Amino acid sequence: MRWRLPWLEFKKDPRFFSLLIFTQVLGMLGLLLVEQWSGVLESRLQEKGLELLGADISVSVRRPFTEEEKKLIDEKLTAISDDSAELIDTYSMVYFGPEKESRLTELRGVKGHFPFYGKIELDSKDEFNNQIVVDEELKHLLNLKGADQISFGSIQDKISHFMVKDDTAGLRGFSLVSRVYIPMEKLLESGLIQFGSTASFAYYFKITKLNSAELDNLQKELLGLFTDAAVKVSRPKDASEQIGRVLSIVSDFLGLSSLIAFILSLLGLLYLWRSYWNRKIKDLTMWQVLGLTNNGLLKLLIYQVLWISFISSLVVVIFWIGIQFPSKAVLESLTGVEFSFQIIWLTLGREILVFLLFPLLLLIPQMSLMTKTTKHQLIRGQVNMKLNPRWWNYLPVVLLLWGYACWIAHSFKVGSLFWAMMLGTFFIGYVVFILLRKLVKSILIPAEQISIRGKLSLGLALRSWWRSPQAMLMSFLSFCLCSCLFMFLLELEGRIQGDLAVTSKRPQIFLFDIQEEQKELLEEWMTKKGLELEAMTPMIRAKLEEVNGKSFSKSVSSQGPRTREDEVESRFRNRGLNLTIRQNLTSSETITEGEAFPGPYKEGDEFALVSIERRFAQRLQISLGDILTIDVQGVPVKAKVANLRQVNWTSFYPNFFVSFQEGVIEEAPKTFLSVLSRLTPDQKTIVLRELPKDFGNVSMIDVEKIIVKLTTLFEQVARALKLMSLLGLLVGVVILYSIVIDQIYLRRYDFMLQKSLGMSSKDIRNGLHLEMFVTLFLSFSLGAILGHLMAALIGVEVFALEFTGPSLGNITKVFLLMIGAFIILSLASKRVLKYQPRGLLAEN
Amino acid sequence: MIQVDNLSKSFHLGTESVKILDSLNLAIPEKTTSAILGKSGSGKSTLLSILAGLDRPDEGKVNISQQQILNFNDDELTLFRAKNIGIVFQQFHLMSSLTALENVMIPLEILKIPEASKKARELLEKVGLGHRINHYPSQLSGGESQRVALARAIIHNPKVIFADEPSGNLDEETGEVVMNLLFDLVKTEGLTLVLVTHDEELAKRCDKIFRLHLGKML
Repeated sequence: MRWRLPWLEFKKDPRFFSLLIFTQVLGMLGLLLVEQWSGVLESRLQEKGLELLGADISVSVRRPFTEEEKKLIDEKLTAISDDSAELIDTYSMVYFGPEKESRLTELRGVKGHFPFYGKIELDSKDEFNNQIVVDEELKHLLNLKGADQISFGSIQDKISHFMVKDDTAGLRGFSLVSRVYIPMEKLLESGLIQFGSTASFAYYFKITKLNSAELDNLQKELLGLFTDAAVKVSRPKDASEQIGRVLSIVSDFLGLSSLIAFILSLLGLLYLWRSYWNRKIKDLTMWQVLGLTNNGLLKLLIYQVLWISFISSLVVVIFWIGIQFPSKAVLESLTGVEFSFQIIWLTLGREILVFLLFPLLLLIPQMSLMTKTTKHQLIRGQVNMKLNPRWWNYLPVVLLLWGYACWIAHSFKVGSLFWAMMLGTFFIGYVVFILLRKLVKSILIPAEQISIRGKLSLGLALRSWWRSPQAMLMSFLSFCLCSCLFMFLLELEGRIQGDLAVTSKRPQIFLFDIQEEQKELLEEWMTKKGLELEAMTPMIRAKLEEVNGKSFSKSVSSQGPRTREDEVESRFRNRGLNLTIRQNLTSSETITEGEAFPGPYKEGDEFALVSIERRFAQRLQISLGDILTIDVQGVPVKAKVANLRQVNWTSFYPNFFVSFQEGVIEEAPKTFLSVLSRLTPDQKTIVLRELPKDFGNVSMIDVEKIIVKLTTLFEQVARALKLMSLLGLLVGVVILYSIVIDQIYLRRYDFMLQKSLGMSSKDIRNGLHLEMFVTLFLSFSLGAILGHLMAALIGVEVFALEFTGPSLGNITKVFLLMIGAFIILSLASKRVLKYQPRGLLAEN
Repeated sequence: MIQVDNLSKSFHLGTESVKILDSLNLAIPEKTTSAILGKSGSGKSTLLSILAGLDRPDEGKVNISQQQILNFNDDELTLFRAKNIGIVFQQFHLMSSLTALENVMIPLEILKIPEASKKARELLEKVGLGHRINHYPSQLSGGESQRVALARAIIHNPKVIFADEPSGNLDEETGEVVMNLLFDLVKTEGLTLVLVTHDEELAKRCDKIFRLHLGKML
């Protein structure tokens, strides 16, 4: 009988149960899609990282490896690897021709088959196989031809091929200079690698026996085993700062999107189950009155949840298989990312369990309510008149949610932060609701009439607010949470997009090593060719000595580096830095704290002023107003931090961590950097061919291909994030719909009664609209404020984004959604308002 | 005078049509008490819902106080009901978010009749609930709830009171008290009462009894 009851209940109220199943199906599908999508994006980014590193793991150091280190590498890596390669990187001049024309290049000596991932594409159909291979840029700069002889160190040898594409080339420091691949023995033979030479020694490994997580663990283990912190163990995520950052942003954002989709669907599900059990409280009590024990009642409710969960899971599996082909094409065309649908049975199993477990845990407060209230009170519905104060009954749900939030977010910090903020939203929502009730009560208490200002509908609406706290609180909190999550998702997504945004104006050629005396000549040369140099930026080598009178380098090293992190930090602090002179901000910079420079430095000013990039300042613990002593090529200069600025590094324009105001260090020896953009292919060829003839020492690098490669990826990620937030919003809209429909349905008896007493449909509708509009407006407004605060806090804590005000566009979107909910409500109420009051009579 | 002519009503159950009222004729004089007596499923509640303007028949006419109520549109019918009809339900149907006093005030406020609170208080005193005016329906006993419902039904001086098994949800003793009150109020206020019941004893207290069987008057 107990097994049949759920089916009988379904037949009795198919509309409600369909809504319940629909909500659960949507929640499960949303979560599946988000998780699947998250996997696709992460693997896409990891692939990019793999291509950039060229291997699964690498170990490198800026000196030859010691025997002990080599032994460790053999034991831990060579032993389990499928393939390995050894590389030595150094920067050296390459010479060509009778006049010994030269260029700075990155010489990469290779031993073994490298790279294992990505490709080094040659100008012929031949495969790269340890020959002398020269970058195409160098070909243009030195006007090289195939089989020409080039010299490096003491060696002169023939070029085998020119390199069209190198997947391992990123945008990191001097990797911008042209590359030349040579066999390892030739590099060693050249005499360039000697004791004290600046070179990077590295081993690269292809390891397919271990999965990504195991390789990450191996990386951690190796970092602990190498005693010298200078030894770097890299994984694909470390191969590029940009890729690494995007990967970490995407991973965190996807975790949060999954969480939002999950919380929204869970909210809908829990709301509907609770609403249903409250509605059925008399029927359920009757079962008990007829002799069903508490245990039996609990079993009955469990069967009901099991039954709904079973049907929902079945629908999800069928639907998931059904939507694969059409959705694959749509998703791919929307985002440009290849998408493969798979049934992730483990994820599906976990979801089924979770969507079963949460409603079951909700049975605890329900059973507690039913066992602690007398049957007489239950039958008379008296439990609905007060707020349920036994909050601790909800503790299992709350704690499980915490655990699951951390699981979905793949991060204890993100999951806990999100969970704490959700609790905060609930608590604030609850307090605001209580205060609003008190306000409504103070308006109503002195009144001798139900009507307010002659409007009966207004009086009834306010009374419903005041005196049906449980139902109102449920809808108020649900709407508030929906709006909060909407705003949170929109704000966070918008701000991440802003952070990843790539300007449409992208540099094509980087020029560096421009001497001071060449600056004007170079500008004239460009003008003659009809070109314009952009962002001509001085670069001065310097070192930070003191912060507020305290030695900067000693602050960590005085106690001796104790951990690897301390040592890395110490090296970072002791390293020199490049700075610039820049009076005004460029379009890729924004001041986040402090003021812009008032003007150039004047005689009599106490300190020179500097601007610091905010993440750099954060890392070095430098604050606004600090006095820095900077050693500018032997001259100590005292400067005050006038502002902290955010730099959009993805603009790919020359930017510096430290910039001075004008009039302070102009006399210091410096070189200049500049950029060329918007070149036609012909202009680009002219620059690459002819500039070296007139400005032999100026180095150039064609960054267009690399930037296009990275920006395409960023743009794909941006589109994917948008799609992700849309999915979350879609789940939310449906949940909102479910709640609104249920609210209207619950009130149908009130409407019928009002009709029977002679209230016109118009007045009833107006009253309902007013009540729902006030509820929606207040809850959505509160939710939007809390959502913005959440996005700002999580933005700062997790994504290192700046705290900014809410976007007007997002506020509008949330309120449009509120109006959407109101329209749904209005449409749904039309049907319910048509119910004839004959339903109130005994036989109906 | 309530005049019913040739009233028919059917319900559709799947593909089958079930006739609930079959060409029914009825005349109820003004300021009298009438009982419509019948077993469960005889159609008495359906008849009451049509007479009270809560539902519409498939065919037939209903004339109350010289007005063909079925010619009204929904809004006109609602207004007519607000002015001329009071209804007492078996399950009381008080609004749970309003106090006893406010429940009784509603019909007056719908019609924008002044001093609603004063009049409602007086009437609640009259039905013996002067001490319960600020209580909510969930805080009242069955008998008290039904007395509030009676007060709500007559507060606006309607011409006709329709009562649907008014003592059906009460114990015998309380039921009798409530019914005494109903008959007293109808008598003192000079109202027409149409009572639907299956209780022969209760029906006997009315001036006239109509027996309904399978949608037809016997």
